[in-house]
Amino acid sequence: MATGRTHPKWVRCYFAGYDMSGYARTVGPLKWEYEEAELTAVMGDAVKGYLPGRASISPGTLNGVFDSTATSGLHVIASTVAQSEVVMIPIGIRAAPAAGDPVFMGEFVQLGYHAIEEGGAIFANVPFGEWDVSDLLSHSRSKPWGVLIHAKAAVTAANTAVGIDDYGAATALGGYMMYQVFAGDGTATITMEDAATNENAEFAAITGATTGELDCSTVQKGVVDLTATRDVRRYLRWQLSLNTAKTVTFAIGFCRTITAGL
Amino acid sequence: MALAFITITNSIAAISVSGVTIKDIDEIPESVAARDCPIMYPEPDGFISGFTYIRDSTGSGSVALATVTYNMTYAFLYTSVGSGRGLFDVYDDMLTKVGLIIDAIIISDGITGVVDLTMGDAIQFGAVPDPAGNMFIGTRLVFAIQEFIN
Repeated sequence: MATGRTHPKWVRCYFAGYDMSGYARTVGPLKWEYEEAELTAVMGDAVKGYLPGRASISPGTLNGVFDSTATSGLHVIASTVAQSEVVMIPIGIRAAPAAGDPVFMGEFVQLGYHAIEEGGAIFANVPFGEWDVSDLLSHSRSKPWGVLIHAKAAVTAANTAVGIDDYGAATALGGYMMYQVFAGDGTATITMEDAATNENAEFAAITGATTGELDCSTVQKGVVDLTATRDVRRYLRWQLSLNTAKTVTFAIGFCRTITAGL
Repeated sequence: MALAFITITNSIAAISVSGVTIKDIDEIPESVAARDCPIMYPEPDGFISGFTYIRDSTGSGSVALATVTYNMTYAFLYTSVGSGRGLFDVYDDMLTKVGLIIDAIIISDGITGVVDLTMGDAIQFGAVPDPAGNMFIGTRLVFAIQEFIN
């Protein structure tokens, strides 16, 4: 993982369990803001404030290349609208995204699908709305930026590597993990582990940070909440428990809650 | 972060293209013999062109974030003029070699020093002189470079 400035070619776009990076031209603006709200009655003084814990979060519009390739083409994946999609936008720093890189993620309602002609080719715009309100309200999610714990890659064995230090300290306010399983050949369980010192032997499962057993032979995606008072130690890593699967290709992001309500 | 002219030319020279010799900035030939072809080297006449410096942040020049773009021009000499039975005898393989070079450039993320490298300007095949003025059949290839400063 590098730090510093970067270039759009290192942005990736995962949604609905598919890697749309090869089709994406641009995505954004990746919005995270608290909008002012009118706090007085109609005709009252123009007093404004904000509603704490209710962020406005959206990945904006995915501008991609129209492609009807069976199973994986953008047209096939994105032409069903008015439903929630699990979206992850990892941003690599002058290189392909790696563990520790920032990732914008959430579960957003896909508002539309616009195929357009531009410059002699056909493109498709996929506008996303806000974080799915049922998911947002039930989990008080207010922060879309986390870190990539595992960049998209095939894994064939358990993780014995050291982890990443995403914050520099332990926290005690839970968080959430988001995952996308792109390919696999059987069942497996993906979990997250934490440790106080960054050594393989020190890592242990974070209670609740598990996908449960997944059939990885079909695409999978989801978001897993930790309880709001869950301790999360300083170092983080992914873990994979293979059942019938021999290989699983997946990505995981994690957002640590640092401030209550954020 | 300083400009990476030399690093980039080192990296381009390290690209492997079957049947083509790629020279580094310190290996530009004084003259090219037919047996050296096909060869690609930095074109000493106007090697860097189209230089732009765009300031991305406040601050003095030593600290301000900036984006620099420019073109690097390489000469590709496929064979000396007059070799073979005629121009079109060599055209097919020359095109193949240029295609391989462009393919290698497009897919290479390992070119150290650049933030982004793409093909720039039009490719025009024809007579190309070596530094000594000997004429060859070939083309000039222009690589568009983007670098971050600071």
